[in-house]
Amino acid sequence: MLYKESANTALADKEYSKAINYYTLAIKNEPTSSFLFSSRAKAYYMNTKDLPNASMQQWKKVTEDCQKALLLDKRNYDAMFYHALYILCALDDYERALKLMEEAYKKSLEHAKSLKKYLLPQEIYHQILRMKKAKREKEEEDRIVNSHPLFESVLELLEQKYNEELEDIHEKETDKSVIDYCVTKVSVKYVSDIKDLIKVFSSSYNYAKDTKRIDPPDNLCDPISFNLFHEPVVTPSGHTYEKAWLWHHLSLHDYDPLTRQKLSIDQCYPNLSLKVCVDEFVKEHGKNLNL
Amino acid sequence: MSLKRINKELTDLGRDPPSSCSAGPVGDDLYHWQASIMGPPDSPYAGGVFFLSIHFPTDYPFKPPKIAFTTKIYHPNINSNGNICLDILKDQWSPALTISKVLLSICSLLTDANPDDPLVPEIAHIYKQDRSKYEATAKEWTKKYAI
Repeated sequence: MLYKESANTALADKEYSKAINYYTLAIKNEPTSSFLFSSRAKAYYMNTKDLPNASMQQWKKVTEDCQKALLLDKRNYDAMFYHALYILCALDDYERALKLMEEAYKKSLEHAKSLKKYLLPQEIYHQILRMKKAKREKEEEDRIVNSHPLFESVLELLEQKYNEELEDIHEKETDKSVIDYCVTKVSVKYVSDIKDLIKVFSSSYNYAKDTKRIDPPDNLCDPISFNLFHEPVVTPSGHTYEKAWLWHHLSLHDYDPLTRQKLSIDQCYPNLSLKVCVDEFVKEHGKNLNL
Repeated sequence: MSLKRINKELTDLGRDPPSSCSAGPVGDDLYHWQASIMGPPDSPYAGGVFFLSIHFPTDYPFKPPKIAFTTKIYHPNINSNGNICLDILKDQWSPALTISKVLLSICSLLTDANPDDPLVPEIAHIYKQDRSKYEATAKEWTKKYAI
């Protein structure tokens, strides 16, 4: 019992290696505690994530502990949480990580009351938002690089030039401080060139994006008229329709168009937040919108 | 209003076409379309291509489109005029349905006929009593009219 408390304290104090050792001892006493495994997974994760070149061996420890924790108690969403982070950091698989994280979130909503020592659903939700943002940024970056084969060729040329210049310096100069000075100068120039390059290509990409005609996304469109929402109303089934079109449908039938549940006008409410989304979208893309 | 929605369905079909069917206007009249369905591989209609005509009512999507086979087909729920007995084309229609979804439903009707609500009782009878005879005839008709 004592080991467990010392481990928890060490973890709270961010002394991760110490926490790992205490958890290992605690696990020896209590080898069927799912909580101890997921806590050690957390300690491993925290210990590994800031290392500049963490080896796969180190990352493996996170996932091994998570898997053991889940075997012992499949409700342990803390283990899922750290497993998802492992997939993100070690395997670079945004898609899978996000999926697992969403599962952890669902589990946490179900069990947060009975499993008080684990993370709060809000914390997991926060992490999901961060991952979604990171995913979008990565996709954006990939798209810029992939959509311009020219970008890669220019980058290669820059790299080649940089390496040649470095060789040149080492051939011509003998004095170490002079070499250091020249290398620094060349490197600074190289880095700033790359930054400029990215800037030029991303802005041209954004420009192309700006002038392209775009269709409103489906989630901002009424499922009956396929038009952008103007006065969205939500039904008890959770589906949203454009008021005028739904009213017309309800004058002919008495059911929700998508679920066929019985429905009458007085059961519907305005969906204000969706309306704000539509307004924002129109504000941003109005001039290019296909309507 | 209905024209706009029909137009939108047309662009959506072009952008993300369903794997086993296609559809589009016959001429300049956007209210009159033609569609084609490939016979599902796990059915006696495999290998055939079946054509259908689609007429949109002016108050589409509040009223269902009129869809009929123009290719002859041997099926308990489709008669010799090509009329289809399918609930979503009648009282079970919903304005949230699209041509693409309806065509997919017709595809699954080809795989799984509904002999308990037949349009052609004779075919339904054979379907229930002698399944292999039904399949043989359906295959023969497919070969004769749809290939």
